Amino acid sequence: MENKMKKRLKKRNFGCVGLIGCGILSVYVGNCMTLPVDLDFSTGFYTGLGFALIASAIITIIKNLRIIHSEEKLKEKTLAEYDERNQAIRMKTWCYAGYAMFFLLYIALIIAGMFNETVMMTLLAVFACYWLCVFICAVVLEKVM
Amino acid sequence: MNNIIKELRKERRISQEELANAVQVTRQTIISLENGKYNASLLLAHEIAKYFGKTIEEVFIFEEE
Repeated sequence: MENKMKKRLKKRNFGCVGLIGCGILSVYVGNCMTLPVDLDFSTGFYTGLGFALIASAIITIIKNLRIIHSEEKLKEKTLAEYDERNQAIRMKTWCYAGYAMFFLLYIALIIAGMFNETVMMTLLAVFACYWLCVFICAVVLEKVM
Repeated sequence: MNNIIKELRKERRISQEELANAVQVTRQTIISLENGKYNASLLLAHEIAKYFGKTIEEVFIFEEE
């Protein structure tokens, strides 16, 4: 199982390299591109987001490499990751967060509608996308499981 | 679902850590199993029963509601 965990961590490191790419793209968009709508905060926002992505990806890569090269840490990580109770907790966490998100989005939508149409429409689009994701996951899991 | 994991463990003088390592789960999972807060999957139940040299039904007591 430790070998399986090693492969998983290496795949995650590969994913982190992608995140670094996204971070660089975000910094480029904020500083070198002319945006369609020039807002005061855009440069700072995109730059900050980009650097945050790059930093978190680098930290994750270093952490994963330390785990891969230490037998003890690898064993601990494998146990924590593959432990069935931990897996059940992770699944339920996402599930309950999803329910809470649905409820809070709905409340925000209702309140936003009283003050700002643009915000309301944005939240409505997020709400619709959220439901589309839930529907797609249900259909796929029905076929796969 | 109740179980006799704690009793079996004490009989054989095995710590929670040792049992956890043997069946490849965390110590916290063993604690939750013994407290009845978590129900083991079939696979884990089988591993625990095999470790103690017993059947699943001898270790885990299923009560009809």
